[in-house]
Amino acid sequence: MGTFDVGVVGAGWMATDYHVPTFRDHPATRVRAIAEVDAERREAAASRFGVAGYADADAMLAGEDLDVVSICTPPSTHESVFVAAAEAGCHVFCEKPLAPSADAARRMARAADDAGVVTQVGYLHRYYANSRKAMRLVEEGLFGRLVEVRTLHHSTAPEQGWYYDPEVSGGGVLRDLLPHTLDVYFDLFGEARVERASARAVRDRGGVEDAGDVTLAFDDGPAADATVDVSVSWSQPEAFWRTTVVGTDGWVAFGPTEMEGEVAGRGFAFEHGDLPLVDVGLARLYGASDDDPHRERLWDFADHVDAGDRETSAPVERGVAVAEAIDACYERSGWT
Amino acid sequence: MSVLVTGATGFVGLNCLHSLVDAERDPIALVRDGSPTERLPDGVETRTGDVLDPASLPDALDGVDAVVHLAAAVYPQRGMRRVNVDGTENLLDAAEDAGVERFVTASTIGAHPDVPIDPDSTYQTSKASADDLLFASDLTASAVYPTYVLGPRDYRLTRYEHFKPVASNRVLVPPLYTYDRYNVVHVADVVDTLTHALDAPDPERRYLVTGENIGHLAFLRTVAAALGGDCRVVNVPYPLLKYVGAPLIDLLHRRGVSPVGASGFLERGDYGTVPDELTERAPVAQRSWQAAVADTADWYRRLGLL
Repeated sequence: MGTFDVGVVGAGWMATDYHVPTFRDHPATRVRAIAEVDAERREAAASRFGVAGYADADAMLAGEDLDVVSICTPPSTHESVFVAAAEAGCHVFCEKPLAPSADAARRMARAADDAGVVTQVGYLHRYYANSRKAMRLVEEGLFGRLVEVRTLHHSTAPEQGWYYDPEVSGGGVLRDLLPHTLDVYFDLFGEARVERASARAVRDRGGVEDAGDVTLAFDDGPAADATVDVSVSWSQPEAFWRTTVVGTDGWVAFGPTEMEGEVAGRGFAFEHGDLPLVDVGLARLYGASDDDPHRERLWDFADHVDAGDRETSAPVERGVAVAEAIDACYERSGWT
Repeated sequence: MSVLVTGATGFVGLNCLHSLVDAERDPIALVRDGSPTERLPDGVETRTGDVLDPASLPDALDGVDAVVHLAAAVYPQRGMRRVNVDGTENLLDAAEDAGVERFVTASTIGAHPDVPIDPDSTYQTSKASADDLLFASDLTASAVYPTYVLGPRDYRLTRYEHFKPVASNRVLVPPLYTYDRYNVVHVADVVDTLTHALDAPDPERRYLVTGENIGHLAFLRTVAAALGGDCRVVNVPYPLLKYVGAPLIDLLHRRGVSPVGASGFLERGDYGTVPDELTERAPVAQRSWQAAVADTADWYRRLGLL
């Protein structure tokens, strides 16, 4: 196993809670530097983790000999950092949404392709243990021909102001939350068309939508005959998501914690991807879980970097497909 | 020899097709219109037809030398008898017309003349009727009588009920399971017997595929071992369950704590046991029942269900 030097761009909570400690703990990666515009945050993060602090990504790329760049800044900044990192020969992990538009995403994909670097967009949902389990069951065709696939993803309204500036964020809740689910759907079902989309503001968010939904159509593959729908909002005091897959032979419903389903009328149930420790019919008791999707996604990327394998779970091309679908959602919904 | 397999997308059917493909025998799968074919072995020829639709069968049987008839309604459903009896009759008629040389079917242990039949089981009685039709036909025909079949490719999770409680408990004691008896055979032995009946120069009419009769303790402990040994199966003697456990559960039931009374736990379930003189029979070399349990566990593990 090699040793890869990581530079993290952005020192917000995503960087300090997840990216920096997780790359620090992976055996193949170590964090060398953080780039952050805000001097106070930069110094706090640099001293907390004992790494070099830079005012921006270009300075970090010039000052360090990095192998990996991990991007946790607002979406509008992703493209320039991503392209500079790829041109410097760095493998890139980029938080979702990859870019505020499909055009920008395509330019990033070209840069990554030219440089031949390993890329991954930071979609989270597939890395929950329940999601991995459910995706495997769908891939095995256990539910027969799919009839309906539906995800509800309702989260908290973000605190950072940039989420409400479409120039920076690329939109509202559709751009923010759809990527997690679209990544899973595209992985399982192939390429999709946006058949119908809606966007609206339940509360006044200064111009961006905070609720919406999309119906997808798949020309072939397991979901070709299914109704496939995702709804999202920023409306909850606590984030909530749940996916249900219904086929001719059974169904599965799962969120981050619980998962249950049936095949040919025979049931199964899990929590955090685990069976109970005790199941006496009346009551189920589950053990403690160390299910950590943030660690899983970053470590999966680090493993691919270590193996020189560009076929990550969600390479930059996936980010392009997701951005195209979200662009289409805005177009179809008429939201401006 | 061109072999057509009905019930191709079922548990025994998929295993049979895989075995025939591995032996490079180019089997043909008969599938109903709209049936999922993704699970069939790569490149296997499919023909669309339905044993309940006689008009669909001549084309399906065109150029076919032998039929392995596995299409059946196994679990209670409307029209079970129609599928198992009328469907078999339709296929037998079409096979005779098509000049099929060999016809092999999977029956069930309770339909064997030497094994007591459960008259309340529509499945068993319908299979017995289907076998009567089979042996009344002019075809060279054999029926295979397996006990409780375990093995891989159980896409409908028909055996998951035996594995889930063991995987979901660190200690397994009554009333978490009932006092059952089993006779378990490996699906690969059933498939080998079907193939044996296809190829035998002078095939017998009936082939038993049976293992040894085993109790719930041996079975559950083998399941536990196959799952990695995290579950300890504790034996509670049947009299203790009957005279101490059952009254206790009944009491809890009357107090509203237990949703069911004790009667359910005292039922002695039977999964395919046979009279002692009929145990461990098959015309082919048999895998152990422990191997059948282990391979089933591997299958559910592969699906991520354990």
